[in-house]
Amino acid sequence: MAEEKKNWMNSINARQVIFAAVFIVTIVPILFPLNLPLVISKTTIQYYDTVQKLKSGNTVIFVWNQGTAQFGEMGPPGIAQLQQLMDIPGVKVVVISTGAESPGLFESNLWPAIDPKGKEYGKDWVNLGYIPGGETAIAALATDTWSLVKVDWKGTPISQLPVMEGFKSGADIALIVGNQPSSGEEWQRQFQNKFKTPIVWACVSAGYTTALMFVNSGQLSGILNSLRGGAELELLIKKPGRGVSAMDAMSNLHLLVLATIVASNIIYFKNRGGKKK
Amino acid sequence: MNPNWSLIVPVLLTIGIYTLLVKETKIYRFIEHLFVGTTMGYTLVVAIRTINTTGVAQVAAGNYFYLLAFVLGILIFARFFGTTYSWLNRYPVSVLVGSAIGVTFRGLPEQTFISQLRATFLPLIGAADPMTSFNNIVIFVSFFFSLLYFSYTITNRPGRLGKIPNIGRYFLMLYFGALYGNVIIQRAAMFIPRIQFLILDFLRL
Repeated sequence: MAEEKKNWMNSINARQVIFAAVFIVTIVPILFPLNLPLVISKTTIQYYDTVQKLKSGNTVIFVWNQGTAQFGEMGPPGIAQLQQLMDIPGVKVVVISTGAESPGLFESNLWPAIDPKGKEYGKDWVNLGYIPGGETAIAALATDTWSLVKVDWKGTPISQLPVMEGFKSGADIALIVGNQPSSGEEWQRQFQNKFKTPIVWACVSAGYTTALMFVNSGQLSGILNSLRGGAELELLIKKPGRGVSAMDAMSNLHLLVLATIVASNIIYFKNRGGKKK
Repeated sequence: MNPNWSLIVPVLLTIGIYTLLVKETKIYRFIEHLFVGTTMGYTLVVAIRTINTTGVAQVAAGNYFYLLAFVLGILIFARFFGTTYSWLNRYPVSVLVGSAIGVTFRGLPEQTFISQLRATFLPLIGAADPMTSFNNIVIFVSFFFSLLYFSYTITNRPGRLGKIPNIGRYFLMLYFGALYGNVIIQRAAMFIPRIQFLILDFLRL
């Protein structure tokens, strides 16, 4: 019996122990929130302030380029980003995706979580859906929008949508709000360089370090660091959601990663010392 | 506890995917293939829909210029018809590559080079406040030594001079550390919403 138990113990490797620990430190704060304080980053404040400067009548492009695999991470920031735009009276929003998966995800998962604050489809906002062609299409969009886009995502001709009267080229756009894995370099090249259009962006955490250099150079006016940035924006717009509720688990996970790094270094140096002897 | 049974399919798929943490199972493989297949199917439908709205509808409306795009699009498949016709594939590829390079190159020098240089050479002394001056010095010094690290003429010099570029290596390591930290945030940010889904949406705890 004792030998059986020993074999079972031996079959467990360090990876599985770490996975189990990850599950525990994530589940516990979701069940019993710790409500740890959340410090709002400078880049999120820059993001929020830039969007708040919008005035009634301004047209904004909301770039939604996430697939289903990224929705867990980038969904909460996307919801907070779009909600902030909907909260500003008179601001018109044009939703655009350059990824095929994104418009469907927008309709099924993002838009249902938004309070439109009385904004009407076609008059105050529109979803143009998937625009293929990558940067070439973005360049055409900036030069002559109506020659590139003929119908919206639902198939309605854009000539029948009053919101599109204010969007004939990149010069009509007051701000670009983006949510895609990278830092939107193609939008910087085609809009920011040419029309000096301010751009604010939400990117995945792995792209945040790179995106920071575009903030320092003024090419991006503010950025959100994935779920963490989304949680910060939820606090700023006073609509705490899934982002904020995830932050306790996020803090715990980071502490666990730090602990594993320290522990593995101690084990490494101990073993190395042993070998030297 | 009052589970929301309408979510049972995504719940089973989520749990099935995480069986990989124990070992690679057939359930994991099945769900992985299901995800890839569903995504491909959906993308294909969207692509056909887009061809209809942006291409077929335009030709039907009398804009025959769009036929050129159809011809080029069909020629992409020429590579599957042996050496006799495969050379025709080069024309659409050339158009795609040429237009993409042309469009990108228009903004590339300003976006990736000039703007970044402008943001690097900032006043080292006499900035708005001492902290800004300090930050500007850090940016310049890290830029200078990181660049020097890739200057192989100096790196290969014998003696102390050859060790100067190694300072750049430490700045690069700091960058990689920050990058790794953010990768950890990303992995956590992908995992936590799944657990939230299981606990808050399905179990409704």
